[in-house]
Amino acid sequence: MGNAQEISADEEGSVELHGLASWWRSGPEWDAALAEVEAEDEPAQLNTANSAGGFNLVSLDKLSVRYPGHPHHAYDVGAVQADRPAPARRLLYYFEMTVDHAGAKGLLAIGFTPPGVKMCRQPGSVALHRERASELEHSTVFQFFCFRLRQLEHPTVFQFFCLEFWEENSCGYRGDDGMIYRGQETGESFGPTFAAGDTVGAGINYAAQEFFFTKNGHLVGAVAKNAKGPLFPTVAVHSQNEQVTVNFGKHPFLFNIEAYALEERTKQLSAIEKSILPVNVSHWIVRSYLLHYGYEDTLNSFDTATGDSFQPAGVVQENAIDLRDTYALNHRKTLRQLIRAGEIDSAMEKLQQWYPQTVQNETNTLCFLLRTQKFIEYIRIGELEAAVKFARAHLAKFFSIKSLGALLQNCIALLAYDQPAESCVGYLLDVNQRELVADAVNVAVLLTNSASNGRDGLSSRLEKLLRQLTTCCAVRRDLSGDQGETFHLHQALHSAGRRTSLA
Amino acid sequence: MMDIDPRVYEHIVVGESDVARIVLSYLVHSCFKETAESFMSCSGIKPTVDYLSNMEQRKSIFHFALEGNSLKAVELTEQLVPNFLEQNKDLHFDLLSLHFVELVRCRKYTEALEFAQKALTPFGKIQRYVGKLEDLMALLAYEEPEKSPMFHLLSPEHQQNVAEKLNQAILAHANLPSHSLMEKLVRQISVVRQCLQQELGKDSFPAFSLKSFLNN
Repeated sequence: MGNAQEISADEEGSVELHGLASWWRSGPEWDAALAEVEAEDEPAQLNTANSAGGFNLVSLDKLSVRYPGHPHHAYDVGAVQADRPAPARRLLYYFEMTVDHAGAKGLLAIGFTPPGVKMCRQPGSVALHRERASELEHSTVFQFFCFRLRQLEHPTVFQFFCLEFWEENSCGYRGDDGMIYRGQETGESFGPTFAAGDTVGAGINYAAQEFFFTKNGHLVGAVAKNAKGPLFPTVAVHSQNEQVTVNFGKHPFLFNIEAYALEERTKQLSAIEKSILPVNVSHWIVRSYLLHYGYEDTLNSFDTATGDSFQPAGVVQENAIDLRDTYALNHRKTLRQLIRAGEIDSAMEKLQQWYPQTVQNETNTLCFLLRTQKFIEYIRIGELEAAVKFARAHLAKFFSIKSLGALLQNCIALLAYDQPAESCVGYLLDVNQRELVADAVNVAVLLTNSASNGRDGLSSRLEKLLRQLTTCCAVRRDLSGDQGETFHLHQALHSAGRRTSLA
Repeated sequence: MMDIDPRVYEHIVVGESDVARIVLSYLVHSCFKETAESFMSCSGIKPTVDYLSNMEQRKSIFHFALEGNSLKAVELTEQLVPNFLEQNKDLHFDLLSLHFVELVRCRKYTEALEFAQKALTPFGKIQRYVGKLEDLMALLAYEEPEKSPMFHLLSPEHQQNVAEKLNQAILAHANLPSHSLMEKLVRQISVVRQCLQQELGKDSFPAFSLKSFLNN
């Protein structure tokens, strides 16, 4: 399924099945395929193994941690990251932290840090460190995600555990001073302080390339994000017995993240809406679509309607739509109508009459599709005997063709069921199946046009546009370090919420 | 100007029924009622939202506006949604100006002036309309308004623009999407290609041009 290709013509000028079939994927199949393509691991737990200093897990789910601290020291701060970095292939990522137990000095913080955060040790003398300690207490040298002092066996030796991090890549919002720290020595003033009882949230907005923070369900603010690498959700607590619980999405957030996402999407959409629309594009694309699929009646109606009142404001070249689109329009329309009505025999007759080359080779894909559809029609009206007779006469020859074998078996399987429509092969009785055959016939006829340039004629311009869009969005996301959303037609049409979806 | 090489994207798969919905959305958005009905019966596609309820009225309103008969469009809009235009003053002003412009185009200057005094100058009490009013009035001063600096007010593009805005506003009021899927997609591709062009250069991703796209 994942490697379904665009329709390609095989030697007999017929059509390749998988390309066609992929067009008719059902909704759930699209969702599954998309999920596969866009899957990313998400943070689920806190990674205490990697943290600074001896956090105790309080809960089995590894979402609550208590920092036991050491009773002798002024500074007992430690930081802990989530087990995985924040997923980037989406609009936003968000998580929250609730401070359960109080601490004296709120060096609590929440934010994001990059991987490769190292624990480093710098043993040193007491004197030096005492100085350093007091310096640190008041100074701005104290780096945000930082350190812990611990006395070891010798009472005069302190050890630093510190987290090193690259400069602009990390970002944290501190509870004691309400400032934002971004790898610099000094913080920037940002928002309110927070302490025990508060729930703070931190998020990444990939569209705007920002970090944003919330407190108790309200947005505090956002700051620019410069780096593009992976980032781990990180929390830091201050003093002994301080306890926090983290929420990576298992429980509902206090902050209305969906509303925030909606706002952001709307902003993006309005930016797009303000763009200049190339004149008359929609009109010509629709027209070319109708031509391609042979919807002659619809096309006539369209031309009449636009001819009268629609004055194209800009002029597009008269020969913008190639003559190849109008090729055999009437025939294609008739064939489509016949097939949609289930009149396969008539359709085959006409094909034989008008475009014999398409059905000359009786074992090509087009013939296969037509014959199996005839068989299906017999089943639909319950004429099982006729179906079997037909299968013996016309379907048996396809069994030897490897690529068609499985599909053929599915068709024949319809015979086995009392209620074929409700069986696992019931989809064959769907009207969509007729459309698939009609499309194949349409393409086969288009290919008989000596003026068509091969593969190019096989999809309408609208489909080409959509494919282009999908690719361009993917390229664009790649350029952003694989962050943010990209375009998948099915998802775009079906995503919830009128304003955010295309529909 | 060449469009993007199709080999770049031909392996991408899109769903047929989704594509058909885009076409249908364009047809219903632009009030092509018969065409939409024909398309739905030829292809078996059904609309997901109930556009049909006001399509007939929207269609008349839209076409009257397009033709330049904006007074009729205003009348029908009021019938469809009472007080709608009062709540959408900008739109109301634009529609009335279309009528004014039509009179100017037909060189019916006295009528135009009378109409302006009756229907347009009341808007002058609100600051943001003053500039627009001045532009409109200035048209009267020219022998050939088409050659004046405000010639765009007489252009068919402007007329189409106002008609579109009216259509969008009515759709929005009825809680329907105000832009067709098709339009959104085309805009999206233009914007994305523009971004890519900025990042990667003109050659790999030329800006979207209808002509090259259709001819490719």
